Amino acid sequence: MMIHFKSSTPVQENLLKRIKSRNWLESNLKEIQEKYAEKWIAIVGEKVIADGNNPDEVKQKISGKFLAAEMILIRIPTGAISQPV
Amino acid sequence: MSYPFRSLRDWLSFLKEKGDLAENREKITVGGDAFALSRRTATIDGPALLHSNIDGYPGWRVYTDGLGARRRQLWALNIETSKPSEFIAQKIAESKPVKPEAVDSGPVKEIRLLGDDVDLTKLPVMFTGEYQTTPHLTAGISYVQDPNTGWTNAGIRRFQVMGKNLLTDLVLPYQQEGVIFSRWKEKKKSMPIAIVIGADPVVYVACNMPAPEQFDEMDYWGIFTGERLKVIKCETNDIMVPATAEIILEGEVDLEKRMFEGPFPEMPGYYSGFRMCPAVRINAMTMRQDAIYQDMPMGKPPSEGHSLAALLFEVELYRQLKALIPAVVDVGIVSTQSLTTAISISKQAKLSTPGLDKRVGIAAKSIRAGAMIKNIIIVDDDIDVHNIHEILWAFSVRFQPAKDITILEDMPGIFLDPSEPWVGHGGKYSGHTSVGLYMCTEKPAPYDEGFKRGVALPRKDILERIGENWAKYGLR
Repeated sequence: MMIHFKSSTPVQENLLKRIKSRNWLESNLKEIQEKYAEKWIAIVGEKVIADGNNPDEVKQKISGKFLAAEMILIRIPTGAISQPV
Repeated sequence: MSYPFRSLRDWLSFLKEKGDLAENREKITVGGDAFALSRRTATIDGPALLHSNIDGYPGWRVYTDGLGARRRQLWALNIETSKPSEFIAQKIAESKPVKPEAVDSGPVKEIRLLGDDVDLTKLPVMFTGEYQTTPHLTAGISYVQDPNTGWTNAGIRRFQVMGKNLLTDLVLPYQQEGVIFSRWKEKKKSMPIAIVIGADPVVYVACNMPAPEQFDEMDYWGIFTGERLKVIKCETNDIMVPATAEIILEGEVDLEKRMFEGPFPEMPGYYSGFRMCPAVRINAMTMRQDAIYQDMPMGKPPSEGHSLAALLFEVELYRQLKALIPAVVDVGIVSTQSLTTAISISKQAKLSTPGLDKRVGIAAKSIRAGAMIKNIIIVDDDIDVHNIHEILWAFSVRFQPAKDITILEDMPGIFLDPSEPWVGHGGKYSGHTSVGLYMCTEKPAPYDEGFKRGVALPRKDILERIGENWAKYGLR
């Protein structure tokens, strides 16, 4: 079977959605840090859909509502993000 | 299949002949299946894996774990010895660098995608852990060139997928890639880069060798194989890459644009934090028509990445330590890159040189290859430093906590180690740690009474006879 480059599969579309969510997180990091520092949050699209003190708590809040493949689950750190170079 | 392996395909054929390649046709996802399978094979010292049914990526195959077992590392290097460190160190000492040979065509140019046709989301890049935002290339070899001298540095780095033609590169100022980046910065030009994904196993060994500055890692390929590596010029820059590789990404590392990178399942077994890392714009993608994507997940050990690093740390630590202290006999990585390392020394030399074991430990931390070391276990040369049971036995019966441990405070470390109390400053500095030296050796008088009674083992000649006739006794 040949490799295809033209059309995207649903899995590849989900990756594009996650990239978009990641970019949104980066663009809004300051505000998100102010609100959710030290918390775990789930992001779908351009929205925080749940938060909690640990990943299991967040997963429980959204159980079954979203596909793992389209959702970012992440702990928000405090302070400035380091820049090695 | 005869040596050397000139492509990943040659290597896979060899592994198949050896019965050390599992060809999986069950569907796997990019969301963690490959990582889980990889962990399983690493845990049981199992075969390399080649997956051919990747959900959402028709036509692709994904390969992992080729260098995850020590036996396969030795096959890749055509070595038959129980002491590869000694063998490789000697080979490097006796050989001159073997420069690659430039060729005009190669299978890695079968498909050329330039400009807007580049789309990284079409590669089956695997998620390693649950808490990544987007996946990372984990077996990408970065090739960058010093703008002043043309020296090419190659090394496995991680790159996070940030868009159809965008990655981030964790450039660290104290690594050679970072040094070269600073030279491009002086010239105010973005740094050209080529990222090789999927190549013969010696390319992966060679690029991980801790070569001195201005030494091209790819020259090791010829030292190991006795042939010249065939390389081909990139489409959009002057970097030369292996002509038989599977995939090449060509791009530029931006001098100014930074994107936050991470979290990534790091080699200490925990996730990294966020870091602002240079963006890499990919301008071209070339590959074979039926390219195989290579993945090398890290995270909590064991993994292929840890196994490969262990071999190379053992070689370099042995090479650099032996030059300083000839009584060093062997070096074995116990866990997690070189964070915990065992070193054996000549028992005879130690008995006639008080404090030799401590001196070896301090030397190990002082040499370049020992920068990361945190726990140094010194044993006698009757202990196999590659056998955890022997090391723990020495630790149990040749070590007294009150007198055989030395702590060195305020030493350089590795900022990825989550136990470092300074974690949080991540990335700018190499790290800050304390170091423990554990002298697990038989002690001289007045502490030798128990040791003088002898080790309780079967007679040597009986052990040898039994060993030679193992199968006759119904044992395998």
